[in-house]
Parts: sequence; structure tokens; C-alpha cells
Amino acid sequence: MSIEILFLVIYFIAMAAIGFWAMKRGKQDAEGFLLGGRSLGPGVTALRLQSSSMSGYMFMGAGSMGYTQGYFSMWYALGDLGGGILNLSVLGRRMRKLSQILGSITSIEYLEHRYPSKWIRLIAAPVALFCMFFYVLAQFIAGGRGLEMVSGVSFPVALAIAIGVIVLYTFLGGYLAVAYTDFVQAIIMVVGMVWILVATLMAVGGFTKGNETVGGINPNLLTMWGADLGYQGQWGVILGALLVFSIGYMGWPHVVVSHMAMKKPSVARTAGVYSLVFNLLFIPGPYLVGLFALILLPNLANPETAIFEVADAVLPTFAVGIVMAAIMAAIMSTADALLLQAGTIASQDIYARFINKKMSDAQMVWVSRITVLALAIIGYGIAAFDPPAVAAVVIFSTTVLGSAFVPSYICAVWWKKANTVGAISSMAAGTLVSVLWQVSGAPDATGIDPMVTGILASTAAMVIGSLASQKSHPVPEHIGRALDETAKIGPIPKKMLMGQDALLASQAEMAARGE
Amino acid sequence: MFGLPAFTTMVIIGVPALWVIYTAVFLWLSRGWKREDAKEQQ
Repeated sequence: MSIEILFLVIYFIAMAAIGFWAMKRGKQDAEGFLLGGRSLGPGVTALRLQSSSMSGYMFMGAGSMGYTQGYFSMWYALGDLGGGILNLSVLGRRMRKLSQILGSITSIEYLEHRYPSKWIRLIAAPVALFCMFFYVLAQFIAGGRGLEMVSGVSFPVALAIAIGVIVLYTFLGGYLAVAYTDFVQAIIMVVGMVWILVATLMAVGGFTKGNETVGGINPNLLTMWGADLGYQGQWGVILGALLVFSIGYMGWPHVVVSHMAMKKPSVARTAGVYSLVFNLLFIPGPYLVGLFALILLPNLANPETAIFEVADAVLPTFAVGIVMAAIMAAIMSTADALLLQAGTIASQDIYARFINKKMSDAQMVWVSRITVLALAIIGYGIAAFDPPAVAAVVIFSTTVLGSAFVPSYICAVWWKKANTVGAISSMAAGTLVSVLWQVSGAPDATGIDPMVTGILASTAAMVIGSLASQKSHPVPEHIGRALDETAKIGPIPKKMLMGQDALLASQAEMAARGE
Repeated sequence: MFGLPAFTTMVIIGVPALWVIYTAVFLWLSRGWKREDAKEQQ
């Protein structure tokens, strides 16, 4: 067995062991399985938030963009750097508090409680499930490719192993397993990425020398406008690149659920700082390694493998194993979060809400697990026989998620007039505009990214829809009181918690059912 | 600087600096959140 495979085997066993430990430690009721019993501190919150959003894209898509477009690719990194702090500062404390007041345990259920109507869940759940499936598909492909390169086994076999490990520990311990494995994986990711970046910079003679050499190959790569200066003045595209991983990230249901799992609302403050430090250390690395791969490996057949190939070229054998574990960590930490959230949406937001309203907690956990397994099998089928490009799938699915959900999540805690009509209009407009803009080829024709048009449409729909329907669909009184309490700095009065205030609980339930 | 065009240098240093400033301002504005913890612990 080669040293790389040995490291990966150790890594896989360690992740499964953490999942098993979390299963023993966690409560098996719905809040325990889906939110880890709202018990997470700032370190786990921040690193879970970051590692679950830094996907296989960072090692395949980002490296490929650095290799093909040079410093233009840094627009994505520069937006991404602030994604964590923006998310935690804008949503963190308030979403944690409001979700507890309303008794919400999934990020889609939270939207329905805040904007009481079954149509919220009927629209949000399929949109989120659809996007997350494609997002997780990209992670499967990236995981399979990585293992294929390290182990030499065929892609279908490597893919089966990668999916098997991810499903195993998502299956075992629910949110707690995902959060703790994500935390450990985030540390492995940073160590691996810094290591490979330092080794790459040494191999190219330092940062300045590396840039000069890249400039000798193509000076355009050193500009912020792309390899052929095609993005010069294309501010619509550049704005989209900055937004997709910064503001857009506040609309990803599998990421914002982290706020609801925090031990206390104030955890968001420290977690914000940790997330910025993580991002500054981790995010620029893949883009720069991809860029300098042009010097080390000028004739790569597939730029998506740039980081894998550079690791193999510049690191000692034992270190390649560790870096490969870091790469797998990035892929797996996103995939497990997506799978868990997809399982949650299917079990809690669709099955329990519309099919079997009297489902027990144990049944809910099993529906979630069966969904995870089904998605893994379908994902394997597609990825093994016709794998699409990782970067394109990730950017498209995250663009649609961001466009659909950002205004709904932000206005939920910041705008008292945001109502059900506004939220439904916003989700529908964001989804339709971003998808149609992309499939119609409008980004090439207009130079405007679908993230920009999608988020403008969903924001406009939220504002116009809410203001136009204030009289016909006023925000329920109990929501207004919950928002007033959310804005205050202080503990939640016990009588305001769902299930403890019978009046509040029945109002929320009845409103959600449209009675 | 760093063998890069001036605009590239300005952007790749300036934007991260803005995020650091944003974080510092957030920390300052949220300094009162500690009171919430103190009350919860009581």
C-alpha cells in the first residue's frame, strides 16, 4: 500500500470514528439529530460553516480558474473571504434567536414559521433539494477524481468509495457528526492548503518571481481581466463573482442552519472572527496554486486536476497523503452537510409536513437516512456514467440557491414588513430569473452574471410583494412580537419559546397550516 | 509590487483589508452581546 493511500485510509477511518462517537453522544430526537441539540460553540460553528461551504470546487474549480484565467479568478476568492463574517454578522445572532422562539429545527421550516404559509415550504423545499442534489453531485465527482488520482483505481470504484464514506458518517450521527467531522476537516484543509501553497511558492522561486514568470507566459494573466482581457469592463460578471460566495452564501440552507445550531446567539460574534481567519489562510491558496501550476506543469490536459498534480510534483510522498486527505476533507465536509440537509428537507419539510403529520422522531430520522442513501445512489449513477464539470455545476447551483433565498433569510430577521406574499414572490422570482438568465445565454450576450439579475429580481419581488400586500396579508402579531424580542440583546423569556407559550405555539401552527 | 500590475496589487490587498475592517467594526458594534451571555448564565 502506498503512503498516500495509507494516509487516506487513516483519514477515512478517523472520520467514521468521529461519526460513531457523535452518534453515541448525540440525542436521537429531532432537535438532537438535525441541530446537534443546539450545543455548538464558536470554533465548531465557524469551521463547520466554512468547511461546508468550501467544497471540492476549491480544489478543482478554483485551481482550474487560476490556471486558465490567472488573477481574474481572484474576484471569486475576494468575495468568498468575507462570506463567513457577513453571514454571521447579518444573520447569526438573530436567526439563532428567532428559530428558537419559533421552535424551528430546519432552515426551510424556519422560513415557513416566519412567513406562515404551506406554499413557502412547497416552493422552498423542492428548489433547495434540486440545487443541493447538483451541488452534492459535484462533490461526488471531485471526491472520485481525487481518489482515482491517488490510488490508481478506476473512477467508478473511487467514486463508490468516496460516496460510501460520506454516507456512512452522515448516516451515523446526524448534525453532530457532520459538525464535528467538518470541524476536524477544516483544520486538515488549512494545514494541507498552506503546506501545498508554501511548497509551490518555493518551487517557483517565491511569490514575486512566480508572478514574473507567469507574466512571461501571458502578461494578461496578471491582470484582473482574464487571460484574453475578455472581462475588462465587464462589471456585471465581476459583481456576480464577488457576490456568489459572499452575499449569495447567506441563502444556502445547508449553511445557514449552522446559526440555528449555535449554543447561544452570541456565539456568532466569536465565530465571525474565526471564520475570517480561516478564510484568509485558506481561500487564496487554491487559486494561486492553480496559477503557478502554469509554470510547473504547463501542458495539463485537464486544468481541474492542477492542484492534485502540483501536490504530486512539489511535495514529498508522505506529505502528498496529508494534502490529499485535506482535499478529500474539503469535498466530504461539503457533501455531508448537503446530504444531511437534503435528508432533512425530504423528511421534515416534505414527508412530515405534507404526508405523515404524526411521524415520530425515530421515523423522521429513518426517512432522512433513506433519503441520503437514495440521493447517494442516484448521484453515483449520474457521476459514474456522465460526470459534468465541477466548477460549472457548483457555480450554477449556488447561484440559484443564493438568488432564491438571500432576501427571504435576511428580511426574516431585519424587516418587520416582510410577509408571506413577499417571500413567495422573492423565492419564485430569484429562482426563475437566475435559471432562465443562465440557460438563455444572457450572461454572454449582456455581460451580466445570473447572480446579479437573480438577486436583484428576488429583492425587488420581496419589497414590492410585501408592501403591496400589507393589508391583505399582514404580518401575524406573534411574528411581530418574536421579531421585537429577536432584536433585543438579552435572553429569550421562557414564555416566548414555542411549546411553552401555548398561545404562541398554537398561533404559529395554525398560521403555518393556513387555518 | 510583487511583480503584479498596480491595479491587481491594489485589489488583492485592498479587498481583504476591507473585510478585516468590517470585522473590526462588527466586533465593536457587538461588544454588548456579552451581556446576553452573562444574563443567560445567571
